[in-house]
Amino acid sequence: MKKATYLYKNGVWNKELDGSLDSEQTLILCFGTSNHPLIEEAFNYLSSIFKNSTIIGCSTSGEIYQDELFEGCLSVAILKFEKTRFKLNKERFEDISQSYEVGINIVTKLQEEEDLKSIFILSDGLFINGSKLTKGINSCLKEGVIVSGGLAGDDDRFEKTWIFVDGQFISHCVVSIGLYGENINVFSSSYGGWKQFGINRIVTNAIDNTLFEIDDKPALRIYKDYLGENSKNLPASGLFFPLMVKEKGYEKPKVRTILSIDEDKQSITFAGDIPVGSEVMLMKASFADLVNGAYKSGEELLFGKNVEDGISIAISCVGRKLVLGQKTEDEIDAVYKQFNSGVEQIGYYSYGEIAPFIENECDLYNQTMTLTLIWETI
Amino acid sequence: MEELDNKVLKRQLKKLDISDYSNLSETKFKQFLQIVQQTYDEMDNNVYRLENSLDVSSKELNDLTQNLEIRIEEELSKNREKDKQLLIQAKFAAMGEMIANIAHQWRQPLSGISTVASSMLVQIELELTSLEEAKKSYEKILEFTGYLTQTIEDFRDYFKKDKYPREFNIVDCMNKTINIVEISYKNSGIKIVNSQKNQEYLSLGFQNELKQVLINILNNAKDALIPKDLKEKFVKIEYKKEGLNSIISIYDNAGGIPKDIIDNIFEPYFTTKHKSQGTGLGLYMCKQIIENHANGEIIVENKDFEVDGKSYFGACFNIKLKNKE
Repeated sequence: MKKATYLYKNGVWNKELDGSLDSEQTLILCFGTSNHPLIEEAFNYLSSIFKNSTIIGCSTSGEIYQDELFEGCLSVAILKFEKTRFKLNKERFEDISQSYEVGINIVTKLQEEEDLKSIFILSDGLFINGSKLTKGINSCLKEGVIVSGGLAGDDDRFEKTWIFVDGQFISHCVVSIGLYGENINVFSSSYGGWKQFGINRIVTNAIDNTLFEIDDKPALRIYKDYLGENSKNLPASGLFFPLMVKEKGYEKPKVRTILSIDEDKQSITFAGDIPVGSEVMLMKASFADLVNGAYKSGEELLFGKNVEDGISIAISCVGRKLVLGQKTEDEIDAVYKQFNSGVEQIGYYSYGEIAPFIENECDLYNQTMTLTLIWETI
Repeated sequence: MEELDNKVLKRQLKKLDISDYSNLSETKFKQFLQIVQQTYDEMDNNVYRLENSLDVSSKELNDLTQNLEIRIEEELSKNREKDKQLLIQAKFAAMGEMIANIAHQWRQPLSGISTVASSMLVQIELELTSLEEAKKSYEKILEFTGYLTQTIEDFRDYFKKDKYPREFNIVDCMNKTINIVEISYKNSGIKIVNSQKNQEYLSLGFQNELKQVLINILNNAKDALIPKDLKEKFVKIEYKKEGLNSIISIYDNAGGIPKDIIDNIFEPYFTTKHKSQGTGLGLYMCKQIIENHANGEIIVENKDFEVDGKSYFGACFNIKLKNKE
């Protein structure tokens, strides 16, 4: 696999694009500002240089390039595979209720070809139910296929996200890449570092990913009490306190983060489902907790491997960026410094991460540093 | 440029492309101040958020603790109510047993009165009656009614609630209880071995409550012995002193209580009897009375005992009561 990474900032590429990497076996991943007119020129240029390549991407809440964080930019990785086949799949949908079906369609179409090793997913960040999407995926996923990826972001505005596919910026879309063959290596890890605090609560009223009441009290009121003056910045400020959700029948808890609020209904919509009867607790994190969490994700990813040459796609939650503020690059660096010099890193801050949960099942994560490491063995 | 330790500060300078302080333009400086101010604001907000969440969380924990106290009080009150109900049920059960015992006790004198009266009627009809015989018959009837009255008095005592603890002889209490159950024991072919019936073991407490306990244990022993195919059926009573306490031991030779249930028999609603016979409250109430009212102890074990030099095996209830000082 030949590879290159680029950063487009203030209308300028950080280095000359290497057109020799263009081929039908070339995959280009792009993560850029949600304000896409700022980077349209960059996409036009990429498309003109890499005519035969497959270019996909999504909007972000911050772009990761190597060990740095950027805003209003475009972070790009070009992967020219030598032996690996890949297949692009695009799923358009109209309504959030189709999330599960979208998951099924992705897997069904990508599994039509033999020897599927992994699926990398980029999804609309606002109009999808990530839990349902991953449940749909899990419902028909063959054993041993690694699924990872993330939901698009929109800084901390939660207004509009885009997916780039077929030369267009679109919403209501999930784009996925299936990677096939013996030569491709894909590993994924995910770690948060948040700690639960306060009292243990029970979800008493919720529908799918919309939470109405906890312990018979309006969920929004609880969040407002905890946020105090910061509650005027909801939903963004809700990211300071993710929710640990322990569903009935699952030992492993999940972390859920706020997407939107409804003042009239006093409800909060999360990136994933919050089933009634689940045990929930608010979570908090110190800078050190989050940076250590990111480090652990890198450690888990590289455990028992010595990868000399590859691409790391770091997808971290916007909530982490909000807490870390100007220390955000500490967590990016905590991951990056663990790689050999031949491993390059791009990525973005998201509204949700997708990674393996338990064996042969992926799930939607929130508030984690999720890593996907790709390399080819020849 | 002097080396800085702070990562954030280093990054801020890097972002603004500041490497040389001497040539710092006003615009760059203003940009730098802006970015530094942002850091201060973030830090202030972090401190506010943590302090506020700590306050809210502490308040919630306090509320929860208070709620827990209320909930505990509610549960305790529910339990007290439940205990009250149990007591009432147990009283009814005890009354049921009493009525059964009264029926046993009255059957014989009632039948006696009936026989005497019928015989008198026949004699009057046949004009065979003499004044002397009539007198004898009336005396016999009076004897029977006296016995009936005594039975009623015994049972009335049994249900009379003692207001204050009084000194009483444990052995007397047992003797009176045996009087109540004696006939049903005889009818069931069970012998009560009560060789220490003339001794004195003084205690301070509520005699009638102890009678309820003893009658319960004696009835249980009887029920355990009735279905057994044994040549001789015994219940043996023993008393002994142990330090400041007196111990009443009630043995039966019904073979003992199965190991898997012996630890549960004092629990409420635990019964081995058919629903129509047992409420499962008898021994629970016995334990309540002995431990909570008499400040004593009641235990059960399976063990050997002797009657007339012969060894028998069965359950043994030991009731420990404080001696009168």
